[in-house]
Amino acid sequence: MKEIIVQTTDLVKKFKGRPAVKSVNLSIEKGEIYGFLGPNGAGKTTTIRMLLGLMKPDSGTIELFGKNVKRSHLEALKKIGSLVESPSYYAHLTARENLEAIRKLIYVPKSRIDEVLSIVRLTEDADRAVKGYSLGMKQRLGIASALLGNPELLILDEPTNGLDPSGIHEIRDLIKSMPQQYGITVLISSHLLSEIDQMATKVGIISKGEMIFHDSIEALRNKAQTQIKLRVENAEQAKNLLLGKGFVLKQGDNALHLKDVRDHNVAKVINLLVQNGIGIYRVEEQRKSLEEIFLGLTDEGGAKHAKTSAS
Amino acid sequence: MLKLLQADMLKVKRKWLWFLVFLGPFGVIALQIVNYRVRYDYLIQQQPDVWKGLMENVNMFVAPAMLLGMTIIASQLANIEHQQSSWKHLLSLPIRRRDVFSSKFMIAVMMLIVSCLLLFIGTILLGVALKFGWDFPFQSLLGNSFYPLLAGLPVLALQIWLSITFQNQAYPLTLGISGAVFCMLSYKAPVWFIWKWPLILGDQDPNRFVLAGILVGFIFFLIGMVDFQRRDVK
Repeated sequence: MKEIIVQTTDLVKKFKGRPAVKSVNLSIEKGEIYGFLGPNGAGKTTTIRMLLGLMKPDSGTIELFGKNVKRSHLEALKKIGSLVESPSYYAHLTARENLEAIRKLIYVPKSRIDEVLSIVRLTEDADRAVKGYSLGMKQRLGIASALLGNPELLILDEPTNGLDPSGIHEIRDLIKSMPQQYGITVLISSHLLSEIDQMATKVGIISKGEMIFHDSIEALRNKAQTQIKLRVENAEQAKNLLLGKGFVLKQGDNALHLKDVRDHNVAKVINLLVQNGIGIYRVEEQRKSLEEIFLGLTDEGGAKHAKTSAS
Repeated sequence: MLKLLQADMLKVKRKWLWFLVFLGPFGVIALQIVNYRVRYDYLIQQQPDVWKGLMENVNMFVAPAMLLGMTIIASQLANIEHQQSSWKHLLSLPIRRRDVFSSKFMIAVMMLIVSCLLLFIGTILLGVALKFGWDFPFQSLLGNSFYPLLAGLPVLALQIWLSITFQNQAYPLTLGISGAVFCMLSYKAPVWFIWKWPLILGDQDPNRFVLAGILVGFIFFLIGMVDFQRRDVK
């Protein structure tokens, strides 16, 4: 069994009596990239703030690196690097001075500044005031400051927010390389499933303050049911024929939807249709995208949306 | 703690705060230069003890200048962290919150000490330039320069606390500036009105204001620190 880095039990946080997070149970193992997913306002950032000790939970416990942090977060924070929402920086200082202001507080050698600057490729712009930076550069500086203390756990809240596609790609590659290259465990939150899909090994989905899914990304993918869509010359006749032979299918959208997608089954169906002289126009595999599963999981209204986008 | 102070010193770079530290005492002395040039004879007549007269005149402006300085420095120090919502990052570093709060307070005190020192030197230079001679009352001058700071510590603690608590700096600035204005009119205000303490009224023992300032200032500082420790960071 692998070492568990983050473990929360029945975490609850209320804002003026309204629960923002209710009974969140997270469990993150060493070396994982944990994708923390949920629509805006679902409680992701609140949960992350509690992990970082910025907010105190109303009830429930947080264990970081196997220790309850109720009394003191300090020991755990030494091993955590974080970037919460918009990057924090001092606009009137240069990137190097920004990192130096943080470095003084966490006791790492000065050479580490150059290292993290080169990791996020800001070395050339290091001596310019940060107020002249693009959003992507500021975001990279944020990641650099998160990496500064050689963390064992990296907590990134929406790190690709507001970045252009190449910036997103860059940061994605960077995050993906963390566990292999540096042995860092990563917790990354996002409201975009496609983001998480390309990085995470494990996924937790939160909606309205509650965890509604917590498993590997494969398990989430398996929820995506596939079916074979057949468009044929005479749908009614074909349906009766196939139902008579014991195949499970549905009619809709001027087409037949076959549930059993195993190869030999599909071959049999097509063979049968051909033998009975029914013309086949299209045979397509249809797969519910992760996006649709996500919407289906996060709200009922999403189901309607998923249907329209599928057609 | 020392590291935090160093980091905070780095953060005030290019923020013009040191300029302000210099501007305060310079302004007060400059006003006295004007005052003495315009009505030198009258002022000398009023108070035959020339050094005492000079101190009384200087003191009139020191209190409001000190209160303004406290307000602005506290606000600027807090605003460095408010501006790009740096609190959340700063406080997720492995440092104690009470140290973060203390560091801001101490930086402000250090800056004001420098101001007071400049005022002390400035007063002496002005007196010498006015041909009052070199045998100035060292101790009274030192007291006159530093007592307003010590008596004003409650206001500083209050301003630091409010500036850090409110993201909108309009609230602490309004309070601080009002305090500085009313302090000039508050000779008859009740004793608990902390904004009049830096005036160090002549007829009463100045040590009382200084002691009360240090004591109450420390209490306000502790209250602010405890509150800061408990607060959720947005």
